Amino acid sequence: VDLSEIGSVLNLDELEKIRVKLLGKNGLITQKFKELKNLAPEEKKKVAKELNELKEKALELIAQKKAELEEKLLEEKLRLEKIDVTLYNPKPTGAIHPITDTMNKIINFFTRMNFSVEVGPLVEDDFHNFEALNLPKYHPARDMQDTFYFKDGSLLRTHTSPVQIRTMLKQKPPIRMISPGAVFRRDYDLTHTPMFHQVEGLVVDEKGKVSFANLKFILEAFLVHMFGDVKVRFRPSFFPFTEPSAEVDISCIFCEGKGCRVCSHTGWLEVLGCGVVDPNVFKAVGYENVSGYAFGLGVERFAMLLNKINDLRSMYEGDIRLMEQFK
Amino acid sequence: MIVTRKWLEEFIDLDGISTQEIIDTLNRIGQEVEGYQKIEIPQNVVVGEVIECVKHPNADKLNLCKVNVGDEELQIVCGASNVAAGQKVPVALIGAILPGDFKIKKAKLRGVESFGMICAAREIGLPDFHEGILVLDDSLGELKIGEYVGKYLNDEIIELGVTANRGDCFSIYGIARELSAGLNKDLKSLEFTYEEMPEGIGRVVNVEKNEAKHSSHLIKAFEGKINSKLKIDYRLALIDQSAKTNLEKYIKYAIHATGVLLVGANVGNVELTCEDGVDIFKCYGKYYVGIRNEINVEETGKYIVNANYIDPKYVSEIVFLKNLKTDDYFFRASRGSEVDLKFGVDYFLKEVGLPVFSGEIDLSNDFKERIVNIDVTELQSIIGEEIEEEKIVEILKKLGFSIEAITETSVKVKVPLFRSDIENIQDIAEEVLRIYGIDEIPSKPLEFKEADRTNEVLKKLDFLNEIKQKAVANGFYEVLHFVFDDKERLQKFGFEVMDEHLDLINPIVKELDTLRTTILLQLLEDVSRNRANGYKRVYLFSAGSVYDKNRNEKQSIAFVVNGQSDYENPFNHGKPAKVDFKFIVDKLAQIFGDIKLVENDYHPIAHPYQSAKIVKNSKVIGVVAKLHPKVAKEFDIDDTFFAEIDFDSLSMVKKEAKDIIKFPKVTRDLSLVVDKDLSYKDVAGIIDSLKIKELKEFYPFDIFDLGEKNSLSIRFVLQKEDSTLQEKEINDIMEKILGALEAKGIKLR
Repeated sequence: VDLSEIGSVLNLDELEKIRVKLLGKNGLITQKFKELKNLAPEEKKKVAKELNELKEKALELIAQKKAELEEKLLEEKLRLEKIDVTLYNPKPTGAIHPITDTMNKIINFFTRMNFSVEVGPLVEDDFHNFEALNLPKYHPARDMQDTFYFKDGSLLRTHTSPVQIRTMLKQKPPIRMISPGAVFRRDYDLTHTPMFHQVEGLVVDEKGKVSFANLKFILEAFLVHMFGDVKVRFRPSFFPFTEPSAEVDISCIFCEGKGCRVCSHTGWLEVLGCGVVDPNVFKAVGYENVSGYAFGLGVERFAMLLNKINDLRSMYEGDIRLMEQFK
Repeated sequence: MIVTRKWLEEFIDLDGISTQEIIDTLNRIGQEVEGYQKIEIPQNVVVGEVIECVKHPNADKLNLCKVNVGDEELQIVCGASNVAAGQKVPVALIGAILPGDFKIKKAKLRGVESFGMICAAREIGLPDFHEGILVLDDSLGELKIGEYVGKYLNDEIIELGVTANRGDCFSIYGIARELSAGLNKDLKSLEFTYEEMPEGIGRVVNVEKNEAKHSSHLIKAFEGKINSKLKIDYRLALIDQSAKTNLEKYIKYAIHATGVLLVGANVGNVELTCEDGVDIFKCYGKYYVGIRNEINVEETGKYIVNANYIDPKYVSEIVFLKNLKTDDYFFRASRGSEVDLKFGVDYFLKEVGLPVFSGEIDLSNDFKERIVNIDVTELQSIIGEEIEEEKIVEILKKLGFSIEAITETSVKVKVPLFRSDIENIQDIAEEVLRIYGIDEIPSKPLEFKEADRTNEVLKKLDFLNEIKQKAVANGFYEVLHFVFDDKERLQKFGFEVMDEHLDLINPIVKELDTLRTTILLQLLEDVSRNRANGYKRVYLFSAGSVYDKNRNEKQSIAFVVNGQSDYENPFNHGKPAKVDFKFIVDKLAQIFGDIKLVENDYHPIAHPYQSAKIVKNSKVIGVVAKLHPKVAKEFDIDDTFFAEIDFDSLSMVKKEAKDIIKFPKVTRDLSLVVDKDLSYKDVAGIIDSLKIKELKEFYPFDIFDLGEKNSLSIRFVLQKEDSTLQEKEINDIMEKILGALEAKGIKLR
């Protein structure tokens, strides 16, 4: 019996024919088994063993070949299903606005530092927006904030600070809060929009507990969280609602402090205002024997720096040409 | 506020201190440096003396000058009409390179050789502050022929952003005083001398009535012809100021230098009175706060100069209450001008250099200095660093505070009058901190009591962000808008607008003259703009505050889709379907979950027959519709679909799971013949009313036209909770449904 022809079979039909030829009812090997009965016992045992081995061998070769042919067949079938995957490059749409994204990053930092998030109305009154924040009606610092007024005397809040006042009037110290949201000033040019966003922070605790040094700590941690490995600089400044006050700069993230167009060749970028809460603010909300710090930042400024957006106004123009870069 | 290094040096010795160090110091102590510029005259520009000046033999407009430049006499052709013999002028020698890479060479002008150039200020890199060539004088140092001109005119300009509380820093002297504290260096002690005449001031000025209660005045008089000089003209140009008369020049110069408010006028031309007990100065019948110098002044004669100071709180309040017109003088007065009136007057008189009538008129009010008691421990706790009492005292003294009393734990200080901003210990802490240096204060973490500070606001914010993320995953771009809108436009499209008596008084532009009552119009504008920019798939959403007519604020989130439903690709042969009603509804369902649509009666910008209310958890949460074609045309866009959801109506429902039913679901279909105007809602209503427990779900899956009627196919999903449905049970249920439908005239097809 020649088993070698199994090896040269080209398809499953031929293989089946060979199987029948060898192992079918009248197959060569089957035939030989039938002839066994004619042999002497000794002979019979020996031949039977040989036959069994032959049968095993034949079955194994056929199974092997079958698997091989089936694999080949599948491969041919799959080859016919070949597609040009490079034709399928998708064109997704959709992105979160960089201001929202930046705002969320800021909120996440402070909530993880156990700050609460508080909000307040955009339409405010003079008390919450100015008076309680140590900005009496005739105070020159009101010039700093050109305000939108309504006919009934209300106004659009010029900063998120009124939320500090509302929260302090509603809650007892200790307070640890931020308030993110839209604010409004009458200014519309290349670098100003009449609406923009701020995040304000306030911490109040017992008198003597909260210091300027604490403010330095949280803001340094925050700015490194947002901008990575930057240097942080505090410059004394003035805000009516804090005393001492400071403006906070980071080393320029574009030129690493060497001086470039973005940082006006100073090597520094101004990003925050902060200070120890002025006693007049606490007086306005009836707090006694407390100390606290506050800070505020412009979200647009952060978004522009983090995402290298050059044109402030482009962020309010619903422009897919800008937005599709944030997919 | 602009200062120059040389001007500062009049008040403080800056030898050996680099300008960079000055800038760093100013920044460190809270005087933000916003700009810096070095003024440097090119090399080889020297002082020359015009010895002779005659007309050019071949040109009417040119002059031929002989100029002494020290070691030689040069022949120079000069075109300026103001050149004259005897003048000292800047001469650019051969080899000098002027701004704009202009090289001075030997030249022949109309046949005459010229060995250099007599220059105008602009030509040697200075501001353009005079006509013709620049005539030098001794006011910036005694001129030496042949000397480099930069020795007199080189300077450095530092521009400062003085904060609103620091009126005392609106002068060169004020900044010098800051530097004195910042550099720990004494100010120069200055003496001003001028010629005094034997005649007293009483001969020329009389004060008839003085009712000034909130201001102080010091008046002196002088006589002669007021001449301009280079130092004044040049420095006024450097600080970007100009004046019409020579008197005004000196007044502005002295105000900028000393911070003392001054007014000058010819005797007889000014009437000094105080009105209504209010300290407002009257000039020529007009009321101004502060004093104006826009008085016609003759260049020669008798003059008075009035130095004044008004309580800044008072002047701010009175101007606010009386709504008075204000000017630059008010600005200085309201922020607190310098109180040392004699200092200002003397500085002015010395610069003018004319004989002064002896004596003065002193209308001073006694302004009391504030006393602040400093508890040293409290001050340390505000700053967060144990700064020693000795150091605190040293800093305050440098800043002009006087020490009234010291104990081991406290310091009592008298606040100088020019620091009207200092009221309490925290103000003092700021002074100490900024001079001590914020950099010297170590950062310290705050110890606090932890508390659950998560609240409803945060949960709502998280929920909004979740929706936003889903919208983005469904292909929407988030866009942001101002909460302003155009009232006329809102009305035009039929939206509610804010009541007139609640609306904005001072909008910035007409297009933003009210608060929006919808986000949709802004989104449509964006669609229009993006389509114009060539985008074929415009899916946008925006979340934010909207208002009703009573100006109540609520949170809205709006969506808009326009253009293609897919991108152009080989498989749609470059012709993707357009967005349609199903497209936006499916997206909304992916974002908001289980929503249902019911018919909508009216929406101002909706297609009247493709508009639905969106219901979630049995509550209407918003509207979805096709944009009315008339509105689409107004925005120059094609088929657009929109939705506006009331965010506040979305409740964060707690989700609870039921046990999974293990018995199989069975589906059965019915194809029905229905009237064309029959709403699916009515068919569904009939089936719902049967309240069949085993009917888990049913939905329409095909509809087509039969001519007079429609064929509607509905798929029913049946399941029992405790056993497998038997064929008979299924048939009974289907019979029951069909029976109910047939009773309403709906037959099986």
